[in-house]
Amino acid sequence: MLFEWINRISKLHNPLRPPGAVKEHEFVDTCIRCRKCEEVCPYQSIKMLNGVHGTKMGTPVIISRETPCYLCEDFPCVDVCPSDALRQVKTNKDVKMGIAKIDKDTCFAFNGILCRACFERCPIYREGIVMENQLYPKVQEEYCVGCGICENVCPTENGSIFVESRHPIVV
Amino acid sequence: MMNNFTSNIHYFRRISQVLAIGLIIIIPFSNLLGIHWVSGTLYSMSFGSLDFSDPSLILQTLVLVKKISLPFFISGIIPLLLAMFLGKVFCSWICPFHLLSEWAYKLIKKIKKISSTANKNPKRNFNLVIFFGLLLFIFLSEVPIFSLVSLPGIISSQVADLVIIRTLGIEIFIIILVLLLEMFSLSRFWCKYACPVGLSLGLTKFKNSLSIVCDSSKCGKCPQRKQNPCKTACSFNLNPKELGIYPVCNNCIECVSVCNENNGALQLTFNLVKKTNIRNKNNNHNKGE
Repeated sequence: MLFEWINRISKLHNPLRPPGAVKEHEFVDTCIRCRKCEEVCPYQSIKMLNGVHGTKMGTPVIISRETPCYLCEDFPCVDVCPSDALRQVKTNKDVKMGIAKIDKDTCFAFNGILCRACFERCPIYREGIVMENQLYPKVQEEYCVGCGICENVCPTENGSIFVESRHPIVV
Repeated sequence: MMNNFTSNIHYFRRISQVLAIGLIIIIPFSNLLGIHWVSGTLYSMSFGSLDFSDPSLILQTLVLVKKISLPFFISGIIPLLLAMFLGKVFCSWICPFHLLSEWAYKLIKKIKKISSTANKNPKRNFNLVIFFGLLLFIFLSEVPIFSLVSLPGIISSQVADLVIIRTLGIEIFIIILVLLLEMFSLSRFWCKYACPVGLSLGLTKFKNSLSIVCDSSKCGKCPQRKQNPCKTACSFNLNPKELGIYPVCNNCIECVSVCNENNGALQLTFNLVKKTNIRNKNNNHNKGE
């Protein structure tokens, strides 16, 4: 159980923050842990880190394999943030939460099975993910917003496309 | 009318505290149902477009991030203004930890005897020193400790967790630890000296804040004066007969209520200086006789 905990914590070392989040090291200082974003999220995509995560306790994350961010039109989470830890984003293309990375070893498309799940469901359609040669999905880093819908819909067992934070702290 | 109010104050205060707990339970439920008119926890709460934030977090943000948005700043000023006129009533009338701590104190009082004759008022700037010491620590260590140890905030967010995801985090142990410490060694230390919310709300205390003052011409004639009813009523172990109960005292008014049943020497006033002057005059007059 302890091992599982450590695993989960290290995985969430640079967690995926809600839309409009400031850079990770600034986010921990700016977020006041009020949970308004969690409460207004219409899809309950935003979860809260608990005390196990030390100083990141009570800060919001998106665990896209469970529930990704569906990029609401009016971004209620950004609206409601009192401390400007989540800042103004106007359209869904302004959101830069993270970047999707494809694991080519397990991805169906790279292993001879025809699969377009991530391409079809990407909200930045035909820009965030393109199909090279009509067969292989490729993430376009300058357009990908990191909403995590691709990670959520990926049909492989543990998922073959993962969203990582745009502002990782390297230790 | 006023007498009626002060003698029933204990019940009014309990009702207010229980309503506050009701509110922090209702907020996550109503938000789950899609009603977002009131949202947040005791770190920061919004009613419609009106925001209230914990003022210690405003100072923490200023120290850590060095810039702040105007609406956030204003949302922290509102509670400070309230505290400026009514004292730290947030602590005694709303804070859920204060209620837990009071019950823990009552419980331990039944088990071991706590003497109230030794009640003493702390040094005047003690709380200021602690608060700015903590701010300096935040500045140097860059750890947002005010958001990590704000117990009313932790309690209300744990309640939200319980409602929304049906689990509790390990931060619940912080609350249990502080309660145990308060019960077995440092009586009520958290509310008196350590809580960042209370410390920051005590910053705006000035001479026209609502204060408890003792009219010494009436005091001393009370039938139970040997037992010191006002000192016994004070769960903070202060001595309301002397000056200097502020900024630790949070106007729970238990002492005034108890005194009111005897002879009403303890009174509430918005003008501490004037009342104290009168008191001093009376003292001199008594000495002259």
